[in-house]
Amino acid sequence: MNLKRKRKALPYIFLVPAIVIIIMIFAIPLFNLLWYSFAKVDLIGNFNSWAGFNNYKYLVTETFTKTLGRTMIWVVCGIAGIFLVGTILALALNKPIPGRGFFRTVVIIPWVIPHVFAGTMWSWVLNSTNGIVNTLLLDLGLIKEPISFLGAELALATVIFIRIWKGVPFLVMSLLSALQTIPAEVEEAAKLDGALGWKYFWHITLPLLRPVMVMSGTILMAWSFTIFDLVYVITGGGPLNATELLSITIYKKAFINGDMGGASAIAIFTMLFVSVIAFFLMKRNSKEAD
Amino acid sequence: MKKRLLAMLLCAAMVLSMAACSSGGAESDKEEKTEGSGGKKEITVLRLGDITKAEPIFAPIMDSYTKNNPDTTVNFEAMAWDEAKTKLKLLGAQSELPEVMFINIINGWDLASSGYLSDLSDLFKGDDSLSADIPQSIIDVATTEDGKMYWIPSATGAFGVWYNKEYFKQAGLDPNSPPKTVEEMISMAKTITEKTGVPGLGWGITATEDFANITESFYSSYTGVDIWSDADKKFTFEDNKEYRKLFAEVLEEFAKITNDYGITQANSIEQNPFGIRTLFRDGEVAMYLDGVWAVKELKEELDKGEGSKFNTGLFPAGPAGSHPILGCDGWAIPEECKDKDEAWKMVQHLMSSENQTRHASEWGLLPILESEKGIDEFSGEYWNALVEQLDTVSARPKDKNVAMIEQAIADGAQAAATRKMTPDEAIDFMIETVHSNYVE
Repeated sequence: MNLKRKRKALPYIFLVPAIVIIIMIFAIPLFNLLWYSFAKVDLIGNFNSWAGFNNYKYLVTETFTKTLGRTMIWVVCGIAGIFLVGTILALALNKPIPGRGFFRTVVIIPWVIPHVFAGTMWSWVLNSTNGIVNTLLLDLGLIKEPISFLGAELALATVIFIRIWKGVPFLVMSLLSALQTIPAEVEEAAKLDGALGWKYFWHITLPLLRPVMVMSGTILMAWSFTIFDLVYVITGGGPLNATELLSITIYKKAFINGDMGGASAIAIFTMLFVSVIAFFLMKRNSKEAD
Repeated sequence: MKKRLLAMLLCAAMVLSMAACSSGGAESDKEEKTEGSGGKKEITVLRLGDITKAEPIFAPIMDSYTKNNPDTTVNFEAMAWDEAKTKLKLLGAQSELPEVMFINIINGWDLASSGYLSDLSDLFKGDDSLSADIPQSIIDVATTEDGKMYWIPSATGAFGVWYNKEYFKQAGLDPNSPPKTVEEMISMAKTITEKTGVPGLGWGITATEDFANITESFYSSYTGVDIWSDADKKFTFEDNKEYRKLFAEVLEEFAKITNDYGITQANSIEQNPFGIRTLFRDGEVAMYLDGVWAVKELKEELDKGEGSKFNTGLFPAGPAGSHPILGCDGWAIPEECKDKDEAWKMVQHLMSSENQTRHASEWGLLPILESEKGIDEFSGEYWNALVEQLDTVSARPKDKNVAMIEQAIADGAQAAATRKMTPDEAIDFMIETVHSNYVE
């Protein structure tokens, strides 16, 4: 009996170091954040007074609703684009094409470029006055006036495009790893049954990739909600708030307005929001897997 | 049970000893800092900015100080601008601010309102030569409405018109007569655009601190007052219908420049006002608004003297004259400084004509001391307007919330310039944004 109990306890004992680390690096800062969200706190964490739910009032304003809507567009369109481009590239790079190693290396490049540098580079490339894209399009006679890629109308679409460019390599790497685990026998059997091309992809490849896709999608979603530097460097959240995402609002609240309490309230909301979506995604996936 | 009790006692003893060690260390650090090694005094001088830029400029200045004060050891340090906002406040809270530090507006009013900076007004007034050497207009910008001065102005710059003489000639305009008023600037820009095909006015309206500063400069030039009252802690146009009306005119003019006149480069909304500097350098615009900060980047052309195609003029005047805001950073002493006499001696040394000239000319700042004017380092023709402008400057908000206030100004002005809001809506937006975000 004693041995049985010990065996049951063993996994929990092994988990203890991990739990301690999680508490140290996650629970304590989280508690701090929660505490700040109900208080008036200055930039360096000095507690001034309790604020009750005052810091959360911003979450029911029209400005915040618009920011949340914009962030959802950024996340959904960004992830959809990453999946579309990433899946096509992963399937292509899984084929035995000449120079496959070279292309696989090239695809990873955007991933390893730091966000700040990538943002600066794109803002130069897309600049409407002397950016290379506009210069090229004008020289080729394809446009008569420079396109304002970072103007109020196109700025959000532009940063979503850049997000896709930056996020595709992660998905390609994940899908390539998953594609390589599909046994050759499955492909042969499918071919014998006449499942070729689109049919093969839809009925064989896609279901086998689904667990990896759900996991990658969840990670990409969490990243997309928290990306700050890439967009801030390119547009600063403008023009006219066209690219102000939740992460930028948090930054502005904390470091421009000096309102750590307000920033913490938005951060808590964002964390809960992402966690709930991630929970349902994972739950649905595990149900389908069963 | 005994073992558990013993373990708890040991843990408590360990925690107590660690706490004692750490607090003792801090105390001894402080003492060491004041006394220095071997009974020598020790002070630290901090300049915000890049250390690789600051070190060569300040090393000789620090050397000459220690030469004249052999009993004092000077440590020179630099801190990146973006680090300063949190780091300085943290140091202030721990009474660890360096004895002499260079403060910029964004951090300065915040530190001053937290009680971390000494009021230097009496020391400044007590130094007859220094107080007589700095123009009154600059002293006003650095002084609060209740007469407090938390830093001695050292790094200043005000906006003016930068123009390309060649385009003026090509358009049949006098290259030695830059526009004096807003109307003239627009009219000249129209002429240049029509005659040369080059946009007459470089214009950037991204919602940044720089665009807020341009807006503040226009506001002061139209009304004759600063945009913010530090005594009332609100915009000066909030309770004054005349100022509000004039500000609405400014914003309407912004909208016309951006959308109607056809005198600017394309897509102003993508350009930061200072980002136009590159276009101006490359001859892609004929005029734009910038300050002394452009000198370093345009120096090669400016140093051609008479043959230089660039020159400067005063900020275009509005109905109340030419009153661009003055960027005014300077040397501060913390309230908790143990040896304020030594720190003030260092500030005086830094502000001596020779050292201030070295600082200003090599960093790219204006010669603010009367004794500096006209010397070789600042003798180019382009310096005339930049220096003359110092006499009529206005102030940015003297408030610890300055970053938030200027963000609201920039956002509102941008919305008005792009006609997403009417001028009145933009003004209301600025007022409401500041009221709802103001931190006491």
